Amino acid sequence: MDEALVYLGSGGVGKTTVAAASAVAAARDGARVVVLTIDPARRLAETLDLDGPGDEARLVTGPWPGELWAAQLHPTATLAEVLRRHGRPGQAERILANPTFQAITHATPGISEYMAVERLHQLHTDPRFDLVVLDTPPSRHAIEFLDSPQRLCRFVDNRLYRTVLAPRSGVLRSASSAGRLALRVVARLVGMELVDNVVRLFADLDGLDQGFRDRAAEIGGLLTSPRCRYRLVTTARPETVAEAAWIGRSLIDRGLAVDAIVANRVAPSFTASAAATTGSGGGRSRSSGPMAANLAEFSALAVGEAELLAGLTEALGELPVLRVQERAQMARGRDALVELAGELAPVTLPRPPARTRLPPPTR
Amino acid sequence: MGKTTVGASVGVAAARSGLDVLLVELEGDSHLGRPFGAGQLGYAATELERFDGGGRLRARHLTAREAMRQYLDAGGINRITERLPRTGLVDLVTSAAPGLADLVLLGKIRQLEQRGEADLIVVDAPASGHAVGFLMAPRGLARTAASGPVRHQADLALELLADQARCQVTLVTMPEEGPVSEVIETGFALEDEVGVRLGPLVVNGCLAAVDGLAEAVAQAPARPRGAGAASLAAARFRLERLASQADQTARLARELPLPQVRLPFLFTPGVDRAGLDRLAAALAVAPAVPSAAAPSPTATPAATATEAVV
Repeated sequence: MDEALVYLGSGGVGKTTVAAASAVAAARDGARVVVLTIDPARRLAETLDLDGPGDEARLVTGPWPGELWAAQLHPTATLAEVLRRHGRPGQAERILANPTFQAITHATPGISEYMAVERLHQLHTDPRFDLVVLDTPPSRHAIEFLDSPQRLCRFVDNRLYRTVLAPRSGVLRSASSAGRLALRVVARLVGMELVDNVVRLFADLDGLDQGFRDRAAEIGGLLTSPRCRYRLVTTARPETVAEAAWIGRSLIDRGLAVDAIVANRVAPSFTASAAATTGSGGGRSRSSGPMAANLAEFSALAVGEAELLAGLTEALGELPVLRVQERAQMARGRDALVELAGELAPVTLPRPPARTRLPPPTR
Repeated sequence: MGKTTVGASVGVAAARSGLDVLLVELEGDSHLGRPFGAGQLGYAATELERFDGGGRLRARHLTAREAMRQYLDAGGINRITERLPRTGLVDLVTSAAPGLADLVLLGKIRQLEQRGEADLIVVDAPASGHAVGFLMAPRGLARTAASGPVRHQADLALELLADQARCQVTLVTMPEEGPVSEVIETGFALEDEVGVRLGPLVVNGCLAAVDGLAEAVAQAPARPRGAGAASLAAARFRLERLASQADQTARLARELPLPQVRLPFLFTPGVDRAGLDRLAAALAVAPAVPSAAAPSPTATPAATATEAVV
């Protein structure tokens, strides 16, 4: 069965890296996994061989029995493909040639989110993959991406355009003259050329709404199915924890399958590792002075972070929490992902597929 | 990188020195008000704190939508568009001309500056990936609009950005590889493409050295037990961290020739009011830190300085 795993969290919490590492963990489990990244840092892009322009999935070689693929989201390319699929002959080309089009794809809230779920759906139905791992765009509210198909429908079906340009019924006729007047005033402010482009763009978008609505329903079906699981990524900071709590609550309220919290870059816990390796506390007197002072600082931080994260699990119920500890120095490249994958492994990944579908093991 | 926290600390330092400071938040939910016991900020200013010596700190959350609505209203759209779905119009115009929303926000900030709303306006700008685009918006629009109100707004914003006495950008980073690479890129992009004055570079979250720690580690038994093992592991962690931090700040100094102000790592999960004071104190003693130095209110009583924290 094909599965999808979606990582959500505030910007800057390490979502992209965590998503990539969890894909590595799945590949180590023997799955054929593809990770769709949104805006990887340069080093991660190099590691995943994603510094090229295309949005095709590429195979990443590494010491795992499964297959790891990586793809980068290019919202404009995906949108062009969507338009070609839904549009009449020539319609997509006219829209793509409109100078306002590219501007809109970057600036309209929800478009890159929609393109992410569109790509998620495409990769999910691709027979080459057993699991799709999705890193989500940095939205002001990460949850926006769940509603993005509907938002795009509303955009294509813009009421303003209908009011201003399509006065097909008598009721709208008078509103339309007010609309034209408004456009003239807007044109005075922003320039006639821009208004012309917008008007032409919306005229060209005409008739696409039904196709978009059908597709939105189909994609909505995947996002709400139990085969699509969600994970929250946070750091131990009040802002990111508050955002994770809010996202988690919204997902749970919608009945979506949230399966874990990843607490990324938490303070290293030295006392715990010491307790595990020792029977009797012998070296106490030796570690007074600067070493004790240093340990006390890190211990206080660990306690503060633990309290903060406890509030998160309290708010969201019994979810497994994976603590990824901050390192003194981060490993580089593929090694970093493999190392992180090891830490993410304790939470059960979506089950690897039937063994018969696997390529022969490499070792 | 903690730019919101650094911006608030710059504000505290300036207000403590007697200035009337306005913090401007552009992206919602920054929790800027939290250390001051204030909730979500609104479009209108909220007073956060008054200081001995006459300084005060206020904050407001400017949104592109509200600024754009005001701009369109001022342009006479209001009377005509009463029967139209207004938010639809604003959204459409905003999304069709990217940069226009940014320009309108910069215009709003400039308006606050011109009205003398505060001695110092500290803007929590978009994060580095978007900061260049935000500050480039007037240049882009000035290029496409030969005349008209947009061109006029763009010219005014460019004038503000280029005026070294009125405006500077403070870059915030952390002493780690990724953030350092990013801030170097952003710094050059801002200098080359926006031509804005760059203030000192704030390196946030710098671990302090602990006297005698390296010696203590050298003298520690190779395989300590119990608390000794934990102390040794923690000490090694800190020393390794300090070494990599020194490498990164040295690389930063080499590749981005700006004075650095180092702020301490606070060992708390968030930064509370006391934490802001510690950061503000570190900013206040650093030479050439904008908040205290740039808007010298005694020298130019009417002048307002604007500072964007990136």
